[in-house]
Amino acid sequence: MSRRSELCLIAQGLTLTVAGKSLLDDVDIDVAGGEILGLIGPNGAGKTSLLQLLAGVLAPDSGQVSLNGQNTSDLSPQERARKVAYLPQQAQMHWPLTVAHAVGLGRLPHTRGYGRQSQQDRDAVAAALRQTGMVELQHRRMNTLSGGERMRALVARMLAVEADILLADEPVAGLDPYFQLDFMELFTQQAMLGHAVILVLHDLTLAARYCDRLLLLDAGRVVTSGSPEQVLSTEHLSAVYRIEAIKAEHQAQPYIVPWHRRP
Amino acid sequence: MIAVVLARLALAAGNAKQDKLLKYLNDKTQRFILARLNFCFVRFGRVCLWALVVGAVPAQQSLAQLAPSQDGPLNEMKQIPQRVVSLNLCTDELLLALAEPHQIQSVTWLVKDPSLSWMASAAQAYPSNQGAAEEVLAFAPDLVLAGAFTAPATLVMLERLGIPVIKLNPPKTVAAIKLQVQQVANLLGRADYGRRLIRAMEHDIANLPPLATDASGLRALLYQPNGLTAGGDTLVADIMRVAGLENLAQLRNYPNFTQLPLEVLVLERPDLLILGEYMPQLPSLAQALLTHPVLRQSFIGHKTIVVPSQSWSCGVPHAVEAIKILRHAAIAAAKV
Amino acid sequence: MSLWLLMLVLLLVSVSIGRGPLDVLQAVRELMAGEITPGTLVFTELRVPRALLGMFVGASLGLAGAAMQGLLRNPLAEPGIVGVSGCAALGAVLVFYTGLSGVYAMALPLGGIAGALVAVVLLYLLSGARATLLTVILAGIAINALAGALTALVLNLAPSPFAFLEIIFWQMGSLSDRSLQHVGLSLPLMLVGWGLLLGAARGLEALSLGEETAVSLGVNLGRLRLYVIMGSALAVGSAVAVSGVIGFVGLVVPHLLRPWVDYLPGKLLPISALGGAILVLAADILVRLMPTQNELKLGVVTALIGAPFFLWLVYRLRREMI
Repeated sequence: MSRRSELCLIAQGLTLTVAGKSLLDDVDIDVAGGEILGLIGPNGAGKTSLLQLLAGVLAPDSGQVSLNGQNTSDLSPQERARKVAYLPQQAQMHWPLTVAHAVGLGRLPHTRGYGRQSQQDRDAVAAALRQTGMVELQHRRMNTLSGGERMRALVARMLAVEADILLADEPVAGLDPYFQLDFMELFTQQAMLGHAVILVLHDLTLAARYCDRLLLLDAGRVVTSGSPEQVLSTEHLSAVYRIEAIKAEHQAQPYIVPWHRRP
Repeated sequence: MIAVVLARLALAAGNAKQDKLLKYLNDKTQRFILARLNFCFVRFGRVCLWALVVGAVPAQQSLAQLAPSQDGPLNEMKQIPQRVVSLNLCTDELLLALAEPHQIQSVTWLVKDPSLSWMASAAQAYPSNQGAAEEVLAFAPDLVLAGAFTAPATLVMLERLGIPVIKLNPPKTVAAIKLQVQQVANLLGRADYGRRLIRAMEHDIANLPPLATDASGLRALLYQPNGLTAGGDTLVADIMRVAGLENLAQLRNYPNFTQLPLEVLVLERPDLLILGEYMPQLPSLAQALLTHPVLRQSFIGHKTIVVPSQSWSCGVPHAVEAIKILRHAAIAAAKV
Repeated sequence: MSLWLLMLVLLLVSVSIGRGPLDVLQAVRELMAGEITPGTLVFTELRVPRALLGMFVGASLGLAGAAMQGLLRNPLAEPGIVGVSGCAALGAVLVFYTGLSGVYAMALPLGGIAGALVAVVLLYLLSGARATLLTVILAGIAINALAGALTALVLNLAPSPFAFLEIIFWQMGSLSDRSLQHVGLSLPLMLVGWGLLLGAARGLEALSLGEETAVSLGVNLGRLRLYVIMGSALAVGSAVAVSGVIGFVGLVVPHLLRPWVDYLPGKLLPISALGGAILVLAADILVRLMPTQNELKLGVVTALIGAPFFLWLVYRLRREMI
């Protein structure tokens, strides 16, 4: 089911080499508003690096990224930060801030100077807390929360940016199944609100169920992209993941269970 | 010597043992053990050599113990010393002032520094020493003059080697200076010259410009690097007394040399501030304290006088210069 | 806030006590009347500079400590422990005992700043981007050891006969007998340092989410690092050049005050500055109240407070260090 509107993010020819090692080689990626794009691939495929390039954390050796028609090299870091919200892998919290303060940090691209939060900022934070269901927990400290709750707070931080494009690197890794489903529902909700979402996922079932499109990366190159049925074919699973999987459907939604390793 | 003999015995014993042992062992074990034992004895041999070298020093010392020690009070020197070595700045100055040139063998390197000593130019002609016993021995002296703080180990060593050592304690009063000058002059066989020097001192002191009657008892304080002031039991205090100044530190019963906080100094309101400089051209926090703005603003113009350390760091006839400087300063301060 | 009030009180107390028998109220009255007496001179030239310096040095150390902890995300980072103060002392000692500061007065704080800069840059290079607790401390130990040894060497080789003994001032810090000149020497560059450090508030808060998130929020990491590094060097360098190494202030103060600002790194900065000023003023007052013959060095008091605190911190963080 596609909820595509205009293309929000278009990236072409992205290449990245770090310390002599080629991490990405001529990667093209695009995502439209209201769409969830899943980035999948084995470890070391370059998924995190790609996301970091799109978020502006790393700079590509060649290629360009354009957001809503504007080339990112023409944008200041703050302007870019307002368009793209990024949640890194294993996101940390160095100081035991309260949830409210942590989520408030997401407003940084919008504020100038220090400590001045406008009514708009406060509204955005409140909305983010509501959408992630963290309103009752907002005065708790981050280090007193459970894993799932912490992740929700960090996602709330991402939502507080009110960016068009949401990038999340393995947001559900290591979470209880309850929270895994919870988060995927959350992202689906965000997509329905018109945001463009790119998620890096390891769980193939979640990728198949919740993503509109998938992009399969291997060793820094795009293997294929398209609908989940196209990408998660037996040949691709065998060639890239070196596995055989059981594919079936339940309630008209696919699920994939890796079964055998291929030699 | 003994060490060498012992070492030889040990080696011999080792070899004998080795031979005995070998008779009871077969070929292979023989070679194995031989190799091990040789290794041990090579190392042992080296140890013995080392013992020889180290043993030499205590050996020499024990030899020297056989020579008679010769310390005694100043008056017991039988002959006029002809080869004198001085190991202390103040004794250097006394020696240079009183002795005939051919009597002086060596003075310390300190006395050649003009900022430390007023006899620097006279001292250039003589070889300098750093106070080490070996250096002293090289001059073959018949008398060594030392100060109260010269390294005791060096002096004991020199005495053991049969060299007469005279320790001169720093004089704490002007009268004590005169006494010491006479004593050293007698020692060096220059008694008459000593008397002449003392008379010159007394003449200079007597001919100081007089203080007005209302100016006597002018209150003064010494301020030296690190904030030290001179209490009652010091040469500085006596010099101040002779110059006609009232030493506030003595009045307040400060012992010896004590550190005076700047606040206390300023609030005591001395009529005259005596700044004792010590190598002011070399930057140090100690000396920088003397240039604190509060001093410059509290004691303006004639209320401050600088006395260079050469004048009164040693109890020598030149201390009269300090008295002269202070008397002139007192007169100038009284006029204000 | 109540901290400002406390600092004001301590300032007044600091100005009121000293070794000399000064009637402070009398001195102030005379000062107002425009008279110049030994009392007013002691007040304006000895008491006031000492109190002011205590305030400024304390503020610099507290602020720099909070900023360094924010940047390195390490609760044990502080100018004294990681060797910034030690290197600043080395720079100041080099400039002072070679006579450079006699020729050009501002050379003294500049020397301190240069030394501090070398240390902060070295620290950052050694501990790197993924600075674990252990690497920062180890780097700090190395830098401190080197700085201390070199300082002792320079002092030994310095021509002045007092230099060798003055190491106690440089390594234990003191505010006694400082003058308004010292305040004038250190304040300008200290203020610049404070400006840079306070300007890093936003970036430091973003940094609590990790470097990647901070960059994605639009924070210029390079500029942030520059602000904190230069700011710390300027503030700590100027302070140490006139007061010697006063340790542990930048460690104790941010830790004690962090819960009061909800752990927000940005809000902690100015509060830490205030807290540092208060701590140093209090320690300086204590030093003057102690009935010892020679005045105790300031660094001794802060070390007596700070070292046990440091040990307690290490004990508490033991698990993380493994």
